Amino acid sequence: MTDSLIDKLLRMKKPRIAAPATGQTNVGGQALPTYGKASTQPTKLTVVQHPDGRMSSYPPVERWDDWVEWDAKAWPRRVPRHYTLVPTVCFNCESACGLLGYVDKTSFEVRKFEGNPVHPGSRGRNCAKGPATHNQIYDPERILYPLKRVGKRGEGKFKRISWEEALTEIGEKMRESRKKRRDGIMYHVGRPGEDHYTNRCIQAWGVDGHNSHTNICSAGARTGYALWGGFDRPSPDYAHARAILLISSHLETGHYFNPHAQRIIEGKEKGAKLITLDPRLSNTASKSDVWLPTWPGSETYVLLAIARHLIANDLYDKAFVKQWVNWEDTLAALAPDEEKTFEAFDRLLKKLYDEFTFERAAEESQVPIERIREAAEIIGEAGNRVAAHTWRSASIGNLGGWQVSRCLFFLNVLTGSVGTKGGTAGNSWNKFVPAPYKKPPPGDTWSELLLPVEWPFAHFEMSFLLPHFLEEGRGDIDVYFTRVYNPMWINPDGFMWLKSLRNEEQIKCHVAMTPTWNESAWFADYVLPMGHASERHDLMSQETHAGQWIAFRQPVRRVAMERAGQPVEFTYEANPGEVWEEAEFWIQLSAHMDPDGELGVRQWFESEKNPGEIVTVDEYFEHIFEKSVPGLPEAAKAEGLEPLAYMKKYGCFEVKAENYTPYVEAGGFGTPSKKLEFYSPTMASWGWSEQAYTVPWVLDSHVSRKHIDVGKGEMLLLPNFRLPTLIHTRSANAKWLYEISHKNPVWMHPEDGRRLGVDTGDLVRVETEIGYFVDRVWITEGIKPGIIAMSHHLGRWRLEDSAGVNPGTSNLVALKEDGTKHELNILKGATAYKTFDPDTERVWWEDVGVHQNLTHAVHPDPVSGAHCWLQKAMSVTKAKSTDNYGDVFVDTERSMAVYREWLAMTRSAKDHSPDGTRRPMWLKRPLKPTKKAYEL
Amino acid sequence: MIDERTLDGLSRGYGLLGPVLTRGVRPDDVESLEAIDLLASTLPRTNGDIDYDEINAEHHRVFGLEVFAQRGAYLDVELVASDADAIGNVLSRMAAHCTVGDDPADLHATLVEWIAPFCVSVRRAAPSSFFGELANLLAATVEAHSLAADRPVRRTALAEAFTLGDDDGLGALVNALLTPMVCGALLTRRDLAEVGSKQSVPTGFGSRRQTLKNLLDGAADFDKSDTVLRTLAERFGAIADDYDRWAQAHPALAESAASWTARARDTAQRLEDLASRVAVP
Repeated sequence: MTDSLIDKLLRMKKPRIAAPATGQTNVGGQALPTYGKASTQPTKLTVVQHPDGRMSSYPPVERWDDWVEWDAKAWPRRVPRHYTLVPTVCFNCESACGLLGYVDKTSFEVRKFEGNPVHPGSRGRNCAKGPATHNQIYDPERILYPLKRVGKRGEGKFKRISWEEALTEIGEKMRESRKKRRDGIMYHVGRPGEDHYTNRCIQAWGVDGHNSHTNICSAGARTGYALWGGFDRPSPDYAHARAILLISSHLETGHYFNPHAQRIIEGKEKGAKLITLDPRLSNTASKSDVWLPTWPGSETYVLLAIARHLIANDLYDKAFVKQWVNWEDTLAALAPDEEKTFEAFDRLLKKLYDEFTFERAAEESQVPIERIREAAEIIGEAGNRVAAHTWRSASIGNLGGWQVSRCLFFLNVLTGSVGTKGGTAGNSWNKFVPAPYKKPPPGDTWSELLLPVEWPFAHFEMSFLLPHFLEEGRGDIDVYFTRVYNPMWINPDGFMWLKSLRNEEQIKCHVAMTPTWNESAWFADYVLPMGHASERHDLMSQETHAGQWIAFRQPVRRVAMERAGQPVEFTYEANPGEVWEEAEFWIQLSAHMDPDGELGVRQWFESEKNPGEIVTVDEYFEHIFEKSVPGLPEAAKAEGLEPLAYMKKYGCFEVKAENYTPYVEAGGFGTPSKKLEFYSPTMASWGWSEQAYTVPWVLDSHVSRKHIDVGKGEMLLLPNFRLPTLIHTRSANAKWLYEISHKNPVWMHPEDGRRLGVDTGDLVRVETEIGYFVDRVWITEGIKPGIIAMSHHLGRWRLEDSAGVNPGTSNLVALKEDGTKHELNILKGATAYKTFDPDTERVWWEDVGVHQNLTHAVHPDPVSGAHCWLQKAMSVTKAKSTDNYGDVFVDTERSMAVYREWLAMTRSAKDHSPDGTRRPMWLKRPLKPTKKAYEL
Repeated sequence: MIDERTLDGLSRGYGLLGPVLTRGVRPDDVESLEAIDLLASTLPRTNGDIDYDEINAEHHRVFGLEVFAQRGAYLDVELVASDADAIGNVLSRMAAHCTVGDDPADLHATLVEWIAPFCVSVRRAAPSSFFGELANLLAATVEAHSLAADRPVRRTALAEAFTLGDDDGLGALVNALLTPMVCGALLTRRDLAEVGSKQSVPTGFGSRRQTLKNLLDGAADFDKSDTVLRTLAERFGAIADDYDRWAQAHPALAESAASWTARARDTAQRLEDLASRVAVP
């Protein structure tokens, strides 16, 4: 054996033995390579102070222009790469966390994204979605050039056109429309990713055309908060709270998830107690001190039981309530015979809420009474440091969900935790939005397709009903822009969208502005490639904590090229292919819409520095940074920089480090009474005068327990939660994220599994009001019995094997239609495929989920206009032998019938407006027209 | 005195083993790897081409996460391991000596002392894979070196076996079980995770010390101290059996392996005794 081994060894190559090394060697005696430009000196890193000590070191700002790292792909050779680090802002959720793009100084390739340590909101940290920006910009399937449809709508035939052609053709259509009317152009935004830039453009066009995704997202919560104080979102100061009360899964997916999650944990580490209401055992619920798995729709019972505990035991902050709440108006409306004293109001409160006992809350919510009592005691002991938030979840799930945020904020009011340290502020107090460049005047038109008279309190546009309105003949659209928005896929009742997107009478020209292929863009007339986070300019600020900041999103390759002395006129010259950005596109499109200034549009896009010429993005943002951001010019000057150069260098600026109780200085709140309106005179005067609508109260949800008969086979479908790594439709272009999570089985409690005779992996058919879908089951105790849950954001599909959404992240489907009946069947799941990126050949998963939203009936709340996402599953049964995974069936005749049922619940401004207007003037609208436009 | 031909063969063998153990497989290595049938056949391939990403990811898993490649990790009771004695470097230096006709006797003698636990650990961490076969080639080459040099192989002198007094806490047991020179084997992360999984006791994540501590803490929380200790004892028994098989395959190195075998069996017995003491009646 020995001889044979030596024989074999002798067939090996002779080892290359290096001559004895001279100079510096490693511990193995090998000579160290020398590199001219790589510093071997330790580098002092920027230290960001985190209470938990994690991730605290970053490249120092003074080294961002030339940062050297070994090339990981060259390993084990030590090849130094020189990077210029460009700050930008993540675009993969609404949080606007800071990113640093590492751009290779030689090739201008973007090597990676890490956190920006000087960003006050994210403080150097990112979730998985931030670094995954790299996947998106190098996605082999991304759209690189402007495309124009050449076949029939939906046929999938497009040709490449130049940007000039796109601008000229679309600009001409806008010009024609604008000459005829002021409501023919509509901009429909999914992920805004900027603050008011596009709104200014729409206002400059002189049209009422802003449409958003808000009514499938946050309209319920916004309405509840708006009625209290004029602001429409909460801004909790988690880091200093004693009690944190969440009605959603903030630690993994809430609004401003990363900035909030880190501060919730900070608060917990300092001793705050975390209370979470969620029927699902989310990551947040699992981290909570008290988890209240409430039956959906019963949240208000629990919140009012806590309120009763505070009121009945005189634990509430009477001085705060007396000073800031409209108790006198309340007494006048609800107890007119009582004397006008605060003591009388106290008696009224005690009487009003006496019925909301812990016992009743336990019965309605099906949560043990001890846990509700424990939660109430925690709130009662927290003083004015209660940080509370509800986002999506119950407030967007239930009929009457707006009362969830109204009842939740009631606890902030009762504890005096309004804008205090550790309390909950209004969003607009902490979000900093500067005045724009040249502000056009408000328009004088009201588009009935956006805010119809039936919903005077909608927050905001009734966006998800657009196809239903078009079907009813309420109007049509000349030029319809969808921007980072996939309405057919993300909205409920997607086949209604399919009908409208196909119909060239209803939508005459559809321009899809998108970084990625999506189901709706397939039916567009123009598909315009827009940049991801690192490929565009935007300004953003969010109410992440008790402070104010503003961040500057930048196209990192463009900035790197400019730093290297290579001038760039338009961002598409620096981006991959001809991917552009909205900021420059809107300026140029507006100029093309009104080339001679006849419409009065062009003036808003002309340069102040160079009269007659069109403004550049640099001049636009320079103007804002110099004139509208307090403290920035001074901070820049201290470093010998202009404000624009400062923002290009750091990517952000902290306007206020701390911001508590600003309403004291402002003299009150944004309501007509300047008080926090416990009793809402506005609701009363607009036709909602019953007590259940005017004060924080319970409303009967469409899926409350009395409406779900489990004995009959009915269940509640909870579809409005997301997995932490998903980004609505754009995660399908981020390979790392899809590898982590790509399927959405039906969560089902073991009791229900036994009742239905199904186990994990079995197929079930879930029937909704308008159709059904077939999905696999995941048996888990993480969901309450009687409820099934299913993550949204999954079930992407494409109609052609070789085009559309990525083959590695979507199902190839067959679409069958017969009159009002629509069917979608999966032909094959995700597959590996060959591209320049070797990872596409490593796709190991097939299951990419089921598109459930197609089968959801629309449920417009009659007050907030929110789509109430929770669905009544008419039956959940073991799938039939003919059923296949991913089957979807919908009858759009039923869609329209359910729409009409909900429409019938509204109280139209025509019948109830107290002053002949369409909507209370004091309530927000993304773009408020003139007072005259409000007239009916 | 080793003949020139054998030294040439050894220089080529060590010359391949050293770099591959240090940094994984590169295209330059393939010609030499193909001299050993079993090695070449275990290289992962995609569409017929060697998948270097796959094999080097495996290298990282085995040597980055599971098996220490430092002499000190095995022979030092304080676990003071310097990079200088990482096995790849030792082998490269031995190759350099052999290439110039010099028998690296001292390096070889030291290597023989810990070759058994190192090779068995690699085999356990990477069964039926390229690096498992590479460990076999390493043992065979070191054995061939011993036979050619005709040097007696000594029993490896280990430290004192552990004893636990009434005042000794969990830390003393953890220290003993993590120190090969005391307990006779290298418990890898994988070993610990498997013990935890078998007994449904959480081990968590982190270093070996952390996971072993979690395992023993968790065992106490779930009243499973005795069963977890017995499962650990079984693991040491299984490792001792592996040493036996390894010694039979490499008889010229059996004497060195014998002390490791004996110590692993002794540890198994001590853990059994401890299990009996802590068992809940």
